[in-house]
Amino acid sequence: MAKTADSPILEIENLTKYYESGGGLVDTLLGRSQEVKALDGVDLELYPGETLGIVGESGCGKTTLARSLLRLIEPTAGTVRYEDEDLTAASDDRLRALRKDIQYIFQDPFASLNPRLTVGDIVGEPLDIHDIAEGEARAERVSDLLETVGLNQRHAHRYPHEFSGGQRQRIGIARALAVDPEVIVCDEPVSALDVSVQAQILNLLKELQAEFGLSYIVIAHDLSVVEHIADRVGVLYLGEFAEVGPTEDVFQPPYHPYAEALLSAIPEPDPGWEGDRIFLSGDVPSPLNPPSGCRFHTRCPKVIQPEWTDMAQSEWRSLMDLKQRLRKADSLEAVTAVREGLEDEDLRQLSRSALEARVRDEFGLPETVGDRKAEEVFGTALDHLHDGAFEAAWTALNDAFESPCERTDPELFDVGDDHRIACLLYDDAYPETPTRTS
Amino acid sequence: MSTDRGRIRITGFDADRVESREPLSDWTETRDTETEGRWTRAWREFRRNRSAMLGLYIVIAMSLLALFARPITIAGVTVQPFSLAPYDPGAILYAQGLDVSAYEAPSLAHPFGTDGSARDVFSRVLYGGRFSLSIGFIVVFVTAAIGLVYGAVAGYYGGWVDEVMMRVLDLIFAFPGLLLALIIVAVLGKGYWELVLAFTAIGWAGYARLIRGEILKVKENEYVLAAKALGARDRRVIFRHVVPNAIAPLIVQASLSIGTVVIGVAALGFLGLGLPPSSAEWGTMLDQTRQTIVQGPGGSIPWWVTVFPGGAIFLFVMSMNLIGDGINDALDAQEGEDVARGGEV
Ligand code: SF4
Repeated sequence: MAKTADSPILEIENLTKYYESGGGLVDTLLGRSQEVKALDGVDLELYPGETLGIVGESGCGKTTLARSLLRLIEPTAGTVRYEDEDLTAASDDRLRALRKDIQYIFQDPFASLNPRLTVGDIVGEPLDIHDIAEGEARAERVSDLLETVGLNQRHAHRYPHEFSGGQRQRIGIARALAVDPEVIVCDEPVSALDVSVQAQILNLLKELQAEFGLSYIVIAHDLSVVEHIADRVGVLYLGEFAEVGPTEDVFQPPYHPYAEALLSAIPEPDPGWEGDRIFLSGDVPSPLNPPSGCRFHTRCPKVIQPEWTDMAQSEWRSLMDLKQRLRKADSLEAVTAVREGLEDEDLRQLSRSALEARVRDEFGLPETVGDRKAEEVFGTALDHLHDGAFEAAWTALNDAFESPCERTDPELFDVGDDHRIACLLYDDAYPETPTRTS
Repeated sequence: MSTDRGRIRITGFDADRVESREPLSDWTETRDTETEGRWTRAWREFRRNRSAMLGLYIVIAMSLLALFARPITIAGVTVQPFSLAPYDPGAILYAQGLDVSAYEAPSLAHPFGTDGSARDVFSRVLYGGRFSLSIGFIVVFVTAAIGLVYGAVAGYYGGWVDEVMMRVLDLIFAFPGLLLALIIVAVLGKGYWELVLAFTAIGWAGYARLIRGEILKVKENEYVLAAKALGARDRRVIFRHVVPNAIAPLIVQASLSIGTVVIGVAALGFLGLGLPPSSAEWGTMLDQTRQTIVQGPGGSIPWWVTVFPGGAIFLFVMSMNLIGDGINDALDAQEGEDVARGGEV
């Protein structure tokens, strides 16, 4: 790893970005506005010459991270140190100068090039802004840059709309290269492109890295992109890192349950592969109100069982799902399976046993849950449900079924050389838990 | 059975092997001409529009006629010696010993007849274009420029700046436009520059609001963020990236309002608040002869004193509107083209 000897070129500490939500002026004054925790205390280092990949689903804070570390949006808290200079404290002028060293490549090559400027002017703009070259020298530098990214210098007089997506992304790369940067933040550099073009662009990025000694932060939702370009990977979930480590290690066990699920979603060309795709229950929770404890506990297939239970993990997961659903539920529709052709029926008229069958159906619970005590609790909750007492049903479940994951926010535990995972399964305080995942 | 993850292969991933530059579309080889700029394309589109071109010819003709109506002398030097108008527009002809009376019907000697002070209407209409046209163009240019900067600043910075600037606009919009112009002229007195000021004072607000709305849209574009990421200053971002992409509606609006301003000037003139009574501005000419619309001396109505200046106003305003619509279509068509081309990958 390139990192061992050198000190980091970019060091991010506790980077945080909260957005005010729903806040007009009046809401703010009345204290009614809420905060969207788009990014919640992220730490990372980037070493010279390396590529750091950052992955996560959409809405997990990737773009916020990329933009706030460049101060394209102002972070709420945290520091970003570039070669021992704090970007977050830099004056506007200083920041403009620093933009020469840290550049940005945008996701959408259609939106990120001004349609009114010629390619030559787009690529030449950074030269003008930073007074790097003028006249002849500028024209020469522009054609050099175009050649470098695999375009023809004759295209300098054309407009962006005449180019394909891949070509436009090359223009975007040439623009970023114009100032001779040290670090380039690539926000989903290929996700808007055809698959056939993606590899070309990624290759180009690699070539340029070798040629100019660049360091990259590559944001992507596509793990295969990251796997091929990154030296190290950070997996982001709801504004926090779930797993950080060298690419090799992140793509192999031990996994963070979330990373494991993401990895299982990569299509496999290998027919011998018999691993199953892991389906995550539920959607990404809203960052307005992130879950307590481990933020992944609402979807985690391996969410830890309390000491006293002993049942199949899938049953436990289903009971957790039921509990979460009940928390917000105010009608039986929310917790029962829909039967074909019976959409209009009145669920309140169902008998206790029919209701039970429906609920088990919706959450994939077997006839009896593997743990006797748990089965009792489930029965009590159903009694309440049958009476229409949602609160009581939820309380019954919540009192009995509480996962440690709901209580404790796991820190990043070391699981290997420079490989860290934010999951209680890897905390020594829960020594035997990993074996419980059946 | 393998639970080892198979590696995904993207072909050609080997960095040293990828030499293949992306093949550029075929036009590169065949037509290696320079790409047309945005304005060239719009002009080509405009030229295809017959009515707009007719309007353009009329406006050019009227401007040239006004320009060459009488010699122009600057600081004692004659810079424009031509004189298309046969008589001095201000000259009272019988006072010069000519055989002309007031309200003479159109004839060969006086194609548009003469007015109540025995002045040659033809000369006055030609020369009067200088006032109406120049006020129209100057007012629109100045108001559009002010509105552009004002609206751009408000829209780009947003927040409190925007809030305050927009409330100021509301204040201006709360005045009935022509009335405000009337008040200004009444306070400052009659005169060319007073008129310009009167129309400028209210005119820019509309442009400011228009361009602000556009800029709110345009500034969300990623290329604006891209310019910031390059380290561009606000001024550069606004005037190089935001404004050029927001300006089309402003240009259309401006070309359409030249006619409006000319009518406004004429209206003030007709109300007796335009230029001094004897000047040849079209609206003022109408005012001077308005009683004749009802009843002229001897029972006949000297229609020529009102029809010709009124016709000139009509012709100019209509032509300007044709041009405005033509510009609108040309720029619209181009936007469509951009989108269509942008869509292909
Ligand atoms: S801490 Fe618990 S919920 Fe979070 S990832 Fe680990 S097992 Fe899943």
